[in-house]
Amino acid sequence: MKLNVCLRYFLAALISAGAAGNALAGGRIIALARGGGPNGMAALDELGALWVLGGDARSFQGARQAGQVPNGLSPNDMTVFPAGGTEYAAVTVAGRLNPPLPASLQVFDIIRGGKPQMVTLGPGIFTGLVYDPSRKRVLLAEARRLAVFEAGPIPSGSPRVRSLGKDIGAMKAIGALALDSDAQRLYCADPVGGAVYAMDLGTGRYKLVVQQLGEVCALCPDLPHGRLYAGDCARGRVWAIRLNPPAKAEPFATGVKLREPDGLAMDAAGNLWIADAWSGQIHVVAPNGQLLRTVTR
Amino acid sequence: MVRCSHILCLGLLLSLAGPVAGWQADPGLQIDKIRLADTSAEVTFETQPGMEDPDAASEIRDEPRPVSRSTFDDRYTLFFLPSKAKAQNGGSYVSYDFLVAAKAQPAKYTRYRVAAMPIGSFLDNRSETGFHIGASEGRIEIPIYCPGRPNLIEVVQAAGLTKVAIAGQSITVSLKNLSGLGLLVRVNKADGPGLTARPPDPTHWYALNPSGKKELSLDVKPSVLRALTATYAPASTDSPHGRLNLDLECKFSDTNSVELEPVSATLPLEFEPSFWHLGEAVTMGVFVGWIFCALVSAITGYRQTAGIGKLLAKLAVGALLGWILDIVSAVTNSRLVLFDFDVNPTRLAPAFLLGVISGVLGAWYLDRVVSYIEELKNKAKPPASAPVAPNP
Repeated sequence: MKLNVCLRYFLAALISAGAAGNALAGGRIIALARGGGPNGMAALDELGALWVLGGDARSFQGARQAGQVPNGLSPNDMTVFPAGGTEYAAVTVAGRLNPPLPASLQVFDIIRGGKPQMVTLGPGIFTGLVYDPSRKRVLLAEARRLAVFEAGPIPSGSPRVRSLGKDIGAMKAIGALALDSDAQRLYCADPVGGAVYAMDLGTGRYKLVVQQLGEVCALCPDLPHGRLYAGDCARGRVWAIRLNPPAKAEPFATGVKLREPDGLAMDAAGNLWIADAWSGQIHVVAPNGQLLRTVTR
Repeated sequence: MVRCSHILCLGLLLSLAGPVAGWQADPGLQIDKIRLADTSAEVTFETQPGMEDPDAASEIRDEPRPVSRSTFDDRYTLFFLPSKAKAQNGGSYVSYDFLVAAKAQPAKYTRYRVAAMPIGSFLDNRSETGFHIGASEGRIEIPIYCPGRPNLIEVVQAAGLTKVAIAGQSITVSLKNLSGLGLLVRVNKADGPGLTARPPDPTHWYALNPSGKKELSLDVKPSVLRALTATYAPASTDSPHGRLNLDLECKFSDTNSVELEPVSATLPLEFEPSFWHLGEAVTMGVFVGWIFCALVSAITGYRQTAGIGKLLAKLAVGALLGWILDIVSAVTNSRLVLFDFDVNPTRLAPAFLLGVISGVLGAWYLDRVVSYIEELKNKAKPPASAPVAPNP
């Protein structure tokens, strides 16, 4: 089984070798997620191209394209999850007014390739998303109604889309999402209010975790260390939020020059990957905040 | 004495620290809510904490159209960078970048990210609003965006149909900017069933001033055979000869990061035949008329002239040549100008009917003429002598 998966990764890498070289030539990176093979990192750019970088990448030259959002549609966020011996990337795609097209979820098999599965989400602005492996569903933030939705089961079956949660409380906007290890709490970023809330997935109630974080545009859980990283696009910094009460946010990786940390993800070694949409670079930072390397174009 | 020296030192320190104390890294910025008078829509602003920005001066220098306003008490200058406006969080809000410089320390800037949240639907515009930096106040005009807006560009269609020559023609399409912000527009796609169209430069972005109009030129090239077939029937807005589907790509002239949806429009077209097409229609009509006559003759047993088969064959060849000539003339965009008078194309159907009538009448009269000639020939011949009966 393991050999079979490795062989698939190898074949996928071989097949995509032709696409390498001009990779990530287009838009800025708006989301990162661990996946795309052992020690891999998936990146989504603003033009809807899905790329896979090696864990030791120092430039984008070796990246392979693992998918493309249908032409003309704008991607919002991405999550990667394993299922059925392969890996999938789910991308939220904005709807359109002309011609009318509802918002959707595009599910790509980033190892084997092929046509993506489309899940219609309906009207609204679906921004952040995260995969819940315990219930094989995707949790989505809907920015217009300030609500959390679920779509599942995914990737197989006929996914149903329904609203979760009750009262979003004092949140002014909802963006990036992150899930804790036991899939009981969903962390929701409020980019306008500059706060992070925790939603109890059992009761649907929200609780303020920490505030005064600036424009929180990305979240990444570091559960082994009891931390949650938050990208602040207003002040160009990453916060490390200690989740154990009392929750506290401290600036992280202060030596790295950032402007818009729009994508955060943790690799297999526990290093934090920070995609700066402003500079187009990805910075790899050790758990102690030390810059390990910068992945450039 | 010791006390006096301490006081002097303290005074000296304060005088040195004075100018520095005048500049705060984060004096705080607030932008007042904007209420749109003609609708119930409004825009609220949420300011994030500021941060000192050492690169601000170069950004202001590089900004194509920076906006700067001083506070009423002249303590601060507020800079707004229109090109940094960006739709965030799937377009649920728009983030603005503001820079604040204290007049006492003009080289130091504090950057503020402000989230503008539109409530309700409105057309993007400029609006003046108040701002507050610490205890100081001022006013500034900024663009306001509404990501869930309807189309900002209207394709103004002339009443009725847009006329296009079968051989191809340049037409003008009028675009109107419904917003109060400058727009750039480019033809992404222009085609239709059996026709193609393109602007003189497909890569060019045309500027549309706030609430302004722009005439866009398009070279329309219909498929000749399809257009010829279509023009046999009269056109109306409900059933035009052809439809030109226009797909326009739009963006704001000030920022690339607030997206605009493409604009689509359909123009009903009426194809106009040229002089040559009319000639071809007439030829075809004549041909059909002759065939009709030949059929009637065959059915009724009416005697046709002996050379009618040859005439029909000649007519068929002539019509075919005329057809080819017309297609060539249409493809090469040939027009006939007589004494400064451009032969105005009219409908093909009446021309074709005229041809049919001409063919029928021609066949009938030709038959008569031939018969008459034969009679004349017979009259002109000397009468044959009557046979003489042999003597018994």
